[in-house]
Amino acid sequence: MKCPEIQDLLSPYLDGELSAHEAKQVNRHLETCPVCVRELAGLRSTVELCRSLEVVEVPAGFHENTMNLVRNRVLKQSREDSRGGVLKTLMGKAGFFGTIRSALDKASYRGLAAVAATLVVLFAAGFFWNFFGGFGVGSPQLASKSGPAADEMVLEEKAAGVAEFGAVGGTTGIGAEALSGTTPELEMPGNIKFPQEGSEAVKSTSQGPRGRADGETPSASMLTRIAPQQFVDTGSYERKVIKNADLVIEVPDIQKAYDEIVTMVRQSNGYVQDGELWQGDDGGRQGARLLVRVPSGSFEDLVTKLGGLGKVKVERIYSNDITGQYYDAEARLRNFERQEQRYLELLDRADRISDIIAVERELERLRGQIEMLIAQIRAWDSAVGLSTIRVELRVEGAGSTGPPGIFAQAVLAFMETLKDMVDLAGWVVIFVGRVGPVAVLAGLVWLVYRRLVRRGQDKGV
Amino acid sequence: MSEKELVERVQRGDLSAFEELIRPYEKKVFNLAYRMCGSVEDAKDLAQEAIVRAFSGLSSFRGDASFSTWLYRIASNACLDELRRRKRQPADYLDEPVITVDGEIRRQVADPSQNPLEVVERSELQQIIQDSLTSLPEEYRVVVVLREIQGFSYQEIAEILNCSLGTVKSRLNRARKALKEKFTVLELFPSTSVSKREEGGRQ
Repeated sequence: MKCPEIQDLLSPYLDGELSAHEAKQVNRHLETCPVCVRELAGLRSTVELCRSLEVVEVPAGFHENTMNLVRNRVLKQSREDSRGGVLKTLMGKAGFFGTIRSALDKASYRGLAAVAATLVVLFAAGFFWNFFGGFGVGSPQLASKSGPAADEMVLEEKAAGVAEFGAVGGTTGIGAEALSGTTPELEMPGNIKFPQEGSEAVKSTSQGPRGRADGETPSASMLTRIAPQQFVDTGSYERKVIKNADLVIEVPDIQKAYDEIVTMVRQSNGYVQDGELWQGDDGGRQGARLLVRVPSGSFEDLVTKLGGLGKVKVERIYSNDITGQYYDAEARLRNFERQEQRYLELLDRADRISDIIAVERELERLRGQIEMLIAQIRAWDSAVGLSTIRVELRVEGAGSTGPPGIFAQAVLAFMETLKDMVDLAGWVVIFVGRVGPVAVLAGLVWLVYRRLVRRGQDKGV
Repeated sequence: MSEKELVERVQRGDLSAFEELIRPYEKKVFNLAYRMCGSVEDAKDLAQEAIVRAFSGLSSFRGDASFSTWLYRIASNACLDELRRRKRQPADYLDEPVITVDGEIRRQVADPSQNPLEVVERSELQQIIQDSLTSLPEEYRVVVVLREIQGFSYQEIAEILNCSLGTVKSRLNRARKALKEKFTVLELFPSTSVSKREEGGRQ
């Protein structure tokens, strides 16, 4: 035998796991071969080092913790067994589930599990899309007529990402249009309509998509053009203040005052977001509540005019100066966008797949940051552009009767709670309807998974 | 009470019998797990998982193999499963900043190998050997652990791992060679004169 063959036998030789014949051969070889002798010595030292590893003590509390885990398992099993009655009949040989089960037994569990899991994910996605879809107004489409397929794939992914962000962040509504061209393009004109009279920054938003209008940038920079750039380069530093007011006014005629307010608000180019009028049982105790949104330019004017309607019992004006945060966010946004630009240039130059993936990952991260900032700035713009005024109207003199007695309050509270409970029950019913199909599918997947796990264990045993 | 009787009692639902049955093996199972993963914390979870699995699977234990072989098989499988699962899991990107309400912060990660208590408690050499062991592929590591730490014969290892005797032989051979390389690079071996002397002793 040659050295390599002998050396493969040295390890079992050390353990005395060779046949007598093999051991004799090794012995004979070792007498003449110093190389193999050294090899054997090295292996022996290796084994000795490994065997010098000390036996470690079990950590304190290990036994108790383990037994607790075992006990929990027992409890879980017995609970499952007692619950299993109905399920077992359902899952029995006969019947619908039985058919599925035998089909599952024959077919590949993993494949089916994957399909079912995909279905669940799709359902869930659809559910959430429906649920949150109401917020996102625009639905970005993608037009890509030519260009390599890989490009299109990447583009679609990006577009999906943008669409999501649009849906989450764009409460003001982003109109994304599909523009077809010779190269795959994607644009999101920032035609956000703010209720006029806003700041400089807001005004510049209506200028629309720059990239396209100027025709200066080729499609390579499409990603930058997705971002509405209107928040950048405003130049002027006006103060960004969110102004709000609460008013409680006593008026002689609720209905008349209410109508007047609606007219006033309309004249100020605002709108009534919420209005509520109520009539007491005795016809005397009436009241009204309004939630008014007006352009911040007419805010003070309107507050004064509202005060003229009657006797102002409470007037509270509060403002929130966000100038610092606002321009801070703008600066960060600019930075991110510059960074993105640089990455895009890098992407153009990247040849290797791994580089491209790395750059794309960075780009994705940046895009997330940019979208977040844009959404934040947009929310601020809306808040700065529109002030909120809460008005409560009371009948003159009615308020002076004093607060209702304890008992009346208790009855009111009781009724409120009762109403809330009824509302809640309604919501629960709706929720069950919403979640039901998903839950059924999830249950199915769980059952399949359990089967898989059991199989795995059986195999291990 | 013999193991066989204890097993039967557990199969009839006697939890205290399981406690009695498993207690002598706890330390061995824990050491197996510890040498497989190299961290006390993980070993605790792994060993517990193995024992809970053993309990759930005991109903299907029919005594074809000895209880200890069966238990080690479950424990080895539990370790291998977990180690493989971890490898598949994508790690967090360390250079990715974490976004919090106060802005971004850099990701901070606890160094798993530097638990101060463990470092003080174990000698440097022990740690180096363990690290070399941990760097082996799981399939090789488990053979080394079963052979050198737990002292099983080739036949027993083959039963535990449910593979052929030849597989055990070749895996152990390769694992030892790999470890020998590592130890040589780390200069853990005594000087060559020792092996010379050994050579003389053999002849």
